[in-house]
Amino acid sequence: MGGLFSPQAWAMVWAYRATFLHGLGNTVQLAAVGLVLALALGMCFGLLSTSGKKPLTALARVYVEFVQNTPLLLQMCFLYYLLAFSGNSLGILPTGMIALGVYHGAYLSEVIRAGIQAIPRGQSEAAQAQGFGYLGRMYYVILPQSVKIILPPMVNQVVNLIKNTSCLYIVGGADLISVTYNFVTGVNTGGAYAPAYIVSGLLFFVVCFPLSTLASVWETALKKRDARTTAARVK
Amino acid sequence: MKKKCKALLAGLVSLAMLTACGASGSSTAASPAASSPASGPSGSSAAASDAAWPEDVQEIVDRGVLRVGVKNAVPGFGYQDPLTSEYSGMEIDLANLIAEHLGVDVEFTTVTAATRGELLDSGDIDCVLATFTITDERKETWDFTTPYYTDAVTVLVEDSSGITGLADLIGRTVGVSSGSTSARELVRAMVEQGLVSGDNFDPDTFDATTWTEGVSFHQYDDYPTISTALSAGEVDAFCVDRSILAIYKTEGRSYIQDAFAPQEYGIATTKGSGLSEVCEELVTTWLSDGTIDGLIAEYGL
Repeated sequence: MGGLFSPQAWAMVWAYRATFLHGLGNTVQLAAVGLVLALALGMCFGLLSTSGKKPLTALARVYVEFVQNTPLLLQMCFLYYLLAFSGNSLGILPTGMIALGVYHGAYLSEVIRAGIQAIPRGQSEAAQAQGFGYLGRMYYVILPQSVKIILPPMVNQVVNLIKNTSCLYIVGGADLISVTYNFVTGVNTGGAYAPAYIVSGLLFFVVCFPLSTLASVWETALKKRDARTTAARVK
Repeated sequence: MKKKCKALLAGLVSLAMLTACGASGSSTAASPAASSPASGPSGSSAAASDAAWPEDVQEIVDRGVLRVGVKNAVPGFGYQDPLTSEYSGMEIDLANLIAEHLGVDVEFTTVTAATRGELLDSGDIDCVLATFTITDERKETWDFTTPYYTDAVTVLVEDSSGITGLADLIGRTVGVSSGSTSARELVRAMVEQGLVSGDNFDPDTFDATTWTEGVSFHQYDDYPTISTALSAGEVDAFCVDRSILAIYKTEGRSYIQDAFAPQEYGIATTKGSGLSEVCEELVTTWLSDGTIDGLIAEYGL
């Protein structure tokens, strides 16, 4: 039954396609909301840690170090059971979204901090001399230059975020991995291991691959534009 | 670990010898025909070596160790003491008896409802004694012996929830173990009582993941997690075999009135293997000679 080339097993996966799509739907939802939260937190704490103000930097450090140095699985369990036992349960999906957002927010904030700090200090000083305020400096001068530095590691984080939805499995989640696992062990559906895992892997690939491709295309475009403008300036 | 296993085995071997001798004695007295299968368990390792085993069983004998998949958190059936890491329970004793019949050591692998089939298929274990319910679908994939224990499914709830019967479960979330039959049987029972329209219920294609009529399900990898989820209020009910629920029925929790889907536990082996026949023969013997009844009484099941 479990054979990779068993047509029966593949037929079973096809017959239960709604189950896999349900899991994929949940994973995409988790990833989308988690990503928005992670980007907001990442931007916010990334700016805090480059603000140069001691208390703000310290705050960002505490968040980043705390989140980066404990496992996501632990944070998710902790958040889930903390909320549940205090009677404020949000349900599995929202809990997962928050946990993923907070976890990847810390990584994104480091990516953004690194991107901003990679821009020579003179850029910021020159913009200040031209009368730009903090937001203006960031928006018009620093961030447009950091984007191409930030983009590759950021996409890494986004792809990781999608894959990390599988951590929900520990609290009985309904993400793609949990669903696949329940499928291969199910009473009516059990046994089709190889096809089910392959389909699950393909679904992840189908979501993640276009993202990383998009990012690399975008990055190349930015670099090309950069090269053109530099060339134009030299002329 | 290995030493402890051996010590445990030695103890059980001597115990089994006593029961086996007594059994073969009584069965010869009753009918001479019945004594031939009974001579299997009573003949110890010396006799086992010259018996003609089927090929796959001979492999186990040559290897010198029978690898058995057991539960580690189901007291009475398969339980591993976290301090001594020793296994105990009815299924552990039965596994030891099989190994003793083959004249080999026994090696336990902890399995869950979800992993046992996979491990058996991959050849990592030779047989499964892990509260494995016999179903027609599973019989297509694996060989099962005559059942050694019959159980029923029921539902455990927190008293504070006010749930007392199946009717109260409407609109609630139920925690089940992934890979178990509990979810399907619960829905079947609700359909039979007319609580849920059975229009979309097909036992052959039922999938707990996508089922939302009347009740919905959360599937978990192990029982302690479901128990925690029940305490936390993440699920309103915990549905599985009564023998397993007994462990989690702490103060402030009760069973609902209904019990349904009597289910039978059997020893699962690879389909068509010689070990299947050996196990079947052993279970039949144990059922007739009172070994199994003795174990059920011993563990209070």
